[in-house]
Amino acid sequence: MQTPAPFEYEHASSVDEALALLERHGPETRLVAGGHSLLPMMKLRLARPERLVDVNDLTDLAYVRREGDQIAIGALTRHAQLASSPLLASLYPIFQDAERVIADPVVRNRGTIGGSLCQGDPAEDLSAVVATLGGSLKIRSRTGERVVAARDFYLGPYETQVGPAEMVTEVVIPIRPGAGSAYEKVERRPGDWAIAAVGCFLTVSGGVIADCGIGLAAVGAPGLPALEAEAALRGRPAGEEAYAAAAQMAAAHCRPQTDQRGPAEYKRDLVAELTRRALRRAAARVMAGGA
Amino acid sequence: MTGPWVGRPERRREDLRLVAGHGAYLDDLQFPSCAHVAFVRSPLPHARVRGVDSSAALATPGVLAVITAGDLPPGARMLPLRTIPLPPDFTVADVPMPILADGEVRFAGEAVAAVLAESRAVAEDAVDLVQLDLEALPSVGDPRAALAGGPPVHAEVGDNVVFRWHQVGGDVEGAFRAAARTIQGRFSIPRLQASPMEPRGCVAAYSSAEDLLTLWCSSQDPHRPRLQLANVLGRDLERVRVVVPDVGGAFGSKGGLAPEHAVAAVLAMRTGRSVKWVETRSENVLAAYQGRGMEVDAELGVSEAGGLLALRLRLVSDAGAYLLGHTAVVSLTATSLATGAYRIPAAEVTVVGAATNKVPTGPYRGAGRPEAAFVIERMVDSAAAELGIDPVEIRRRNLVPAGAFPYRTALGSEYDSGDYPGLLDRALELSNYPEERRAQARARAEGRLRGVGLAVAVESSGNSAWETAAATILDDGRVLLLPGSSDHGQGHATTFAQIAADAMGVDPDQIEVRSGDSQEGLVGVGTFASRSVTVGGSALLLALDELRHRCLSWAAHLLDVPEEQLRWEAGAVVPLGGGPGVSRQRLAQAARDRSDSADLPELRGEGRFVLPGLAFGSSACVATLEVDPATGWVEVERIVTVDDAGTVVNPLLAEGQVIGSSVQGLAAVLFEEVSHEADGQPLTESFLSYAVPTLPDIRTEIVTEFRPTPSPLSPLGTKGVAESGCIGVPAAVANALQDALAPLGVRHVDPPFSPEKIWRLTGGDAR
Repeated sequence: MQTPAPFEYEHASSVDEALALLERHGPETRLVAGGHSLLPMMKLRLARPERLVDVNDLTDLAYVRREGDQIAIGALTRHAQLASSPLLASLYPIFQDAERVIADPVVRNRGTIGGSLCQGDPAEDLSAVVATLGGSLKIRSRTGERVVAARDFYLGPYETQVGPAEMVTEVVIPIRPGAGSAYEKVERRPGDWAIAAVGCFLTVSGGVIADCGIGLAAVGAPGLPALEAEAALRGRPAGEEAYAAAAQMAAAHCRPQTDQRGPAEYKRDLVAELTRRALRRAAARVMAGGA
Repeated sequence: MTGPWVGRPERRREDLRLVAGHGAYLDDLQFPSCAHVAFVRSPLPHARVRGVDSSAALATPGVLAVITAGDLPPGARMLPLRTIPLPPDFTVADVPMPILADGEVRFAGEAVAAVLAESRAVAEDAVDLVQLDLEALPSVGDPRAALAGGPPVHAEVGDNVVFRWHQVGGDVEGAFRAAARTIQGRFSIPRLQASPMEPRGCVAAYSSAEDLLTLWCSSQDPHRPRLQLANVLGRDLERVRVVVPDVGGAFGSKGGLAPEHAVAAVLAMRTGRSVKWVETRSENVLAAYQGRGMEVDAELGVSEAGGLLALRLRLVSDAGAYLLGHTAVVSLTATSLATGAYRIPAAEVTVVGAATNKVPTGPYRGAGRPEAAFVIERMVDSAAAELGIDPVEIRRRNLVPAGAFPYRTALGSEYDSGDYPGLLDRALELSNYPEERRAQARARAEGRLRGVGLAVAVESSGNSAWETAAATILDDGRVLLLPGSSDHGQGHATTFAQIAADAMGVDPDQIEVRSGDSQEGLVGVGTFASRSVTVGGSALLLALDELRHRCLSWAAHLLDVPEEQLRWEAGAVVPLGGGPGVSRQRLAQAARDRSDSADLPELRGEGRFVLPGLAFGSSACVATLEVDPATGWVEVERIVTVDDAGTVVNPLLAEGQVIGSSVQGLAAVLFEEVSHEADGQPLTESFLSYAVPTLPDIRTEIVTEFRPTPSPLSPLGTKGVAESGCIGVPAAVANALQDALAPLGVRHVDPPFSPEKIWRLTGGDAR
């Protein structure tokens, strides 16, 4: 198949209009931005929405900016903008690490952070990045706005907190001065979905890990945080011993599935190795001044 | 032969048009009142078709027809079984592919019904509404299982053997008895898909006024689809025209008529509409024939000193559910070349084609050559390892020496020319092999897994030995070439223009090249088996000889002097004794006007060249890689390949062929594998699951060089080069991997070298 089943199409010129359309047309209506997940699924007729509301005109939702002690990223910000943002490059190089291995330039020019997070694919990289950094998502409806932590955002694979008449408008990431961060991914070929991937950030104070985050991709729920590993790292001296402990905990914590990308035990082993590598790289970036 | 133009790295004259988006591929062709066909395909690998309910589909507005096998015109035949000759003792079962499944489906993806509608979208909606009543039958996906009592794919072929061949040369038994050791090997070479950027497609149109059926199709040439379509529909060849527009890649996978083309033709004749079919990527993955898919057991008898004495192979080919015209020939090539570049006095090969409930296999870039090279090169390295001989040394000791040509192998192939030890030496030098070995020693001392691998490979080229060409002069004086083979990325317009420029004494911009329309030029063969320059280029020289000769006749007439007093010089006819000559423009105009010259021949040359044998290109390749045992990732750092392609007409394009095929060779061992369930249900259904590498994936440095020994078989002295990298690179990389993993005691890894597989072999699952 190369043609989706018949559907209606409208485009929204404001967030309010998009939300009104969602409310008016009901749960079989989908927002479309980059469309690089939704449209292939529609062409394969795995998804059959009755109506698409195109939000590509909402260019006021495309931004990466500093707002006090937070970074605010508009939901319509494309991968390519994330990859080239000097702000993200200086504060959280984990974004560049991840963007380098997300799909291909065509997808990165169109795909958006809002669409990537809302797709809820367990192997999606930005879900792991935002979960790693303890970010949160602003969800708007006609009646108001709520903020949901990225770590609470997913109800399961392809299932999020976003209701049928809601949309994600912004992703918020707390700024942690001096933090180092990194993303490590093993894939069959660059740009493929991860076999396994690990993101992390660290802040170090007097040689001791003050704060940290670890998010996993493709080995369980989307953006799966490795909570035990994080707890084990906090307060420990930064170094191989701590990383090894965290690696083992992350591996024990993840829930990989055996599939065409490999057996569960391989993915689990990868999580351990990638956790070590990501922590080393993040720590090196702390030493280099956070970048 | 090298002239001012042959041998020059001319830029491809095709590129500007194509990269600027001015190409016209099949789907770009627009036809008035075009209808669109889409196919209902079996979801099961083997089933009886109890019924097809198309009532809901037919009730959909815009649907014109739904047809099944029963609606095909009486006399419509299956696809022809043999299009390439096989030896007389090569037995082939009568299991051709139907145009639409008839009563039984034998692979998941086989077309059962076709829906014709006013648009592709409506056709697809209606495909969804056609109800197939299928009764599942037992099925088998693995070729070894198919032969070991698996359920018959065809009731009339109970043992699932659909072709068989056996060939012995030399005293095999005696040589094995005399051998100090027998090295054993078992190889599983997975199925690959060609993945051309442009998938298959066609437009069929029928003119009842002319009783002419025209098929525009994305194919490697117009000639084979034309012959096959005429055969399938029982039409006179003259009543079928095939036109091949720009083609976005084929790699062997568009070498003939697809059954879907025949369905489009039937629908066009039935409805009077032009009918378009452009397949989706999903269809291409499911239903386009695939390549490779070979299981090989090998034995190599060696002397203690490392002499290769005898080779025995049993090759099981995963033929798939039906035999296409060129399914079996791939196995013939793979076994005919079994002894590779080596002097092995005795060899025995057995070929068994196994029917499986999977899409049929056919040629894919290399088409038997890579399989042959992979097996013999792995065997030679195994022998070296067992005997404790350096892999370079064992090759030097056994390669066919430069003075031995023409060399007849034990299995009867005749290698026309080459210098295999010279290629190897140059590849070792170019790769700084001693330094590579030192780097490996340093890596091993640090506990890293680093490997260096060699391969020396042969590339038979020129199969189906003849080709044609025609040439004429246009009114503006440019020379028009109508080669019998057509371009689908090779750069014929560039290389043929260089050849013709030298032959005619003009600049290449005075040469126009046109091909792809069966109504223009002569009946030819086509572009495959690295044959176009060698066979087609030689035909072109013959055509141009005749054209120049006729130019002299016309000039003699125009100047009213005897032909003997004229000669061809720098693109025009000039009198031997000086004075004004006759330009090409004047010749063309005179020949067109034809006043008072009725007895002179048309200003046109035609050539048909028969290659007396096969021209054997060859290559030596050094691969360097490192394995990350923690993740299983194999990083191929460098490929150095030295090629003997005989005379190189255009070094830029030849290098492009070597690099392109090397990348496909890397893909074949690192990333790609078509996989199926044990029952034949496909697991790789799209590019999500079938890992085709893209530009960022190939970080390997590829170093190329040419070291020609001209072929004595053709006037140009050229040999094939287009499949080089596909043949040598997988073997060299496999040997390098083996070398890297040697400290762990790993003896063999089947491709692809996926991270998970390598992780397991390096002990990951035991950690």
